[in-house]
Amino acid sequence: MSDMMGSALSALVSYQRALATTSHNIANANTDGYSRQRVELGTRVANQSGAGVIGSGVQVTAIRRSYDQFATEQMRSNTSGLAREQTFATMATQVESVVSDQTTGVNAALSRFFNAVQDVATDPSSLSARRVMLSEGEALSSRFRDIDSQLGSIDQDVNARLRASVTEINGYAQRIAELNQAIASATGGMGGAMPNDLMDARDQALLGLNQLVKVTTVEQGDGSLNVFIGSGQSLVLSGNAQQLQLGNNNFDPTRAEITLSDGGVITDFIEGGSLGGLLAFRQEVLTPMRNQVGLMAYAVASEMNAIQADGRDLSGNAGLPFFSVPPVAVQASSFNGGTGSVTASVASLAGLTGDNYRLVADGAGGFSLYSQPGDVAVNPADVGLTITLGGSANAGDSFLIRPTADVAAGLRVSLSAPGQIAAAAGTGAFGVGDNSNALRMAAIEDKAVLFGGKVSIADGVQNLVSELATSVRSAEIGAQAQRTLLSQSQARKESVSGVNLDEEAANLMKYQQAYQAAAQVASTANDIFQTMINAFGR
Amino acid sequence: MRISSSQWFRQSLGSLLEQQTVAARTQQQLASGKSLLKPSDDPVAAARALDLDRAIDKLDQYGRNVSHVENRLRLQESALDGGIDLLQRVRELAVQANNGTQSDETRGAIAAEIEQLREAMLQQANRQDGNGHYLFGGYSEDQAPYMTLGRHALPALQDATGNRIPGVLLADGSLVPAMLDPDGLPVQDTALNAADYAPVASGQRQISVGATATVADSDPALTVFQYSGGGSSRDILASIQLVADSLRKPVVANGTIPLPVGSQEAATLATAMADALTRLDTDIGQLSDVRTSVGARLNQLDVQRDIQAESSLQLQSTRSDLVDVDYAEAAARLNQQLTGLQAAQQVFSKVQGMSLFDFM
Repeated sequence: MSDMMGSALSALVSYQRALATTSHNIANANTDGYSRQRVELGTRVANQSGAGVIGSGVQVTAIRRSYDQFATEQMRSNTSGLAREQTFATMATQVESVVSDQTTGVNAALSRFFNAVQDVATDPSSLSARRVMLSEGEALSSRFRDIDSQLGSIDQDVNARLRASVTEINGYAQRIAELNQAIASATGGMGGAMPNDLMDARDQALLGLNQLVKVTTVEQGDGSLNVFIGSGQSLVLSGNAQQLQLGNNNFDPTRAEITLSDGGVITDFIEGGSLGGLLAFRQEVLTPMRNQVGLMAYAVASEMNAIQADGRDLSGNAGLPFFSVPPVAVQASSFNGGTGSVTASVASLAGLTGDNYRLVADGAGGFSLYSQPGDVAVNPADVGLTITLGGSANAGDSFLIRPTADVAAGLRVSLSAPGQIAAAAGTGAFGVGDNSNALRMAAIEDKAVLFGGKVSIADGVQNLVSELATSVRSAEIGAQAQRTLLSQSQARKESVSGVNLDEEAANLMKYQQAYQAAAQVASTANDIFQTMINAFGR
Repeated sequence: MRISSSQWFRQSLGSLLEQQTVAARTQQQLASGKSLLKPSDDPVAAARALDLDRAIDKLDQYGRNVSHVENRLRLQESALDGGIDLLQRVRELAVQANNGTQSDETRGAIAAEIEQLREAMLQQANRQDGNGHYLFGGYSEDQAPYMTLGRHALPALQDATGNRIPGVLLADGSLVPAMLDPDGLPVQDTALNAADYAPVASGQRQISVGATATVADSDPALTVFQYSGGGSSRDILASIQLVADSLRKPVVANGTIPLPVGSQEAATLATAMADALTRLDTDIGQLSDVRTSVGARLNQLDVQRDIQAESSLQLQSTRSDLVDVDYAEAAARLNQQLTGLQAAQQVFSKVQGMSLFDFM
């Protein structure tokens, strides 16, 4: 009979725990990252008797969280993939709206300028046609400057976002380190039982971290997780978190780089997440696009200037340059030890690629040149540049040469009067009605002068727009694919770990009934006990 | 598969939001009239549309070029018509003067009229368009192609500094600096180096009227009023002056000896008039030739304009297919999407209202 009461009490206690767990599940039905918990029941140790073994009731053997390691990892990876593609697409769309706009983009300004050139070619002695051409030239150069400055502010925005991301990543790293500590001590303290809610919180922090940057994890024996970033740099080791920092590029102080607190620059190793998307966007879209826009500006300016120089203006004087173009940008690395300085100029338009180049001095007055990105050794003449290294540079001193990066920002019309447009040919009898040079100017647009003399400026601008559109499109398609994958892995994880309220309601009924039954058993045991007391009490 | 409550909620909400996004996009297409809202919606079509935009824009520009050159060619055509009429009148007067019944006096009157006509011809040669540009100026459209020296109208020459002097066309076709001889006739001024001077009215602009088509703008005086015919080079204005000069000289009977200074025998006049008539005929022929070539160019411009109109229409419609929205289709699509959205909303509210807890 004491057995009976014991069993009833064990059931009451166990079902109380089961009901508590069910209420916990119901309470957390909408908590992000919560894994539903199950109470596992087992029989208590049986009593031996002469007749055999008599059961002694029920006990809670474990409270487990329903958890699928694979689905969780899949979800993390898809989350970081989606965040990367989404960030990339959002940022690239901004560039697209700047460069490709039908009325304010490069294409429209170029088209209007060359129409004005045509008008001068049709009526070369008309001052009004010349004035229009001059002001369309101004409009074109200001379009280029404006586009570059808008791309510049997107660059600023990227820096601001990098800063925000780094702060957030550090927050997550710190939190994971703290949770690692808590989990390790809880696991030790509870004799191996899992601190379910802490584990969920850590998974959730990892998910948040993956949204920012892709990380890899390795589980330790004490339940803590080590987190690695980039190509294996440790971010969290057990209870210690490393801080990410934002440093300046050694060539360009306006360009932010990601560094670890131990000093290493890891910008190029970071993948995935919104941080990976931002860095990829800067590397694959923003920098090349600024260079390409600069290349188009350079092409228009240098071709116009060359033809101007060939011709004579309205007064019969040799033509002056139409546009003024800033010199090739050269930046010395802040690590340089020598006093070397580099000057670079464009030798041939056809050789320019829109890439940047890194010059590394050999210490003996010579140097080698590497394309950026790609790091392929190139010959200056092959990429349309003339480079001189002056002063005395130490071996390993490096310089960044950006042939077209600053062109769009500094493009200006240098002619001041409409009469200065050199519409007339430079040789032969002069007349104000001579349009032969203006005809050559009008033909610039469709002349194949770019990329080894294979692509015209008009086609170049068009390629720019369609390249940009394609990269936005592919990021959007990538995002869509990642979204589908994410919803699949989310569904898989939820099917294991998610709380179903109907299920919990059913469990609630089940455990309630069991509890009531156990209470009934206790009451019956009491009745029997009373009967016995009464029997003897008389 | 087991499904969690939050997953169920998320799924129904997600599909609801998705329907909304799709419907909003269609609405935006309808509102803007564009099926491509940004290039990345369809990079290939966007690149193609850009190409078409440019081509259409170019066609508009060529259209403007056509109008401009057409205007000038029409003016030149009318100037040439005027010139031909003048020459014909001169020819009639020459025939009339070449008649034994005319006296020195009547010939003088005819000569005076011819000189008037030469003056009118000078006006035509120095005619300006609406912008003050000389029609026959060639590249030097800011300078009159002809200038006067004494009673003669002579083609202008200029040196490298822009110094203008009259020139005279020699029989070998060279245009050299002119001076007047004691008889008041233009001859080469040998004091000046002919190599330093170039004709003012030379050079002919080519105007782009299509991607590969060009049309020559108005002809310069050098190729209109000066030409080589009958084995020597001639200047039409000089031809007219020559007729007047011949008629001005008093006529004496054939065989008068000595010939009074400044007079001519009747036979000399007859020969001169016969020569003049042949010359005037070739002069008329020259202006007609130029007029024909101008007419041919005007025809070419008409053809070019037709081609432009046609290709512009075609390009516009191709472009429209690429980037413009098909309203009927989009409106039907929006309707369907809104129905879908409504259904999703109803399902959401029904499904989310169901719970086992309601039955406890």
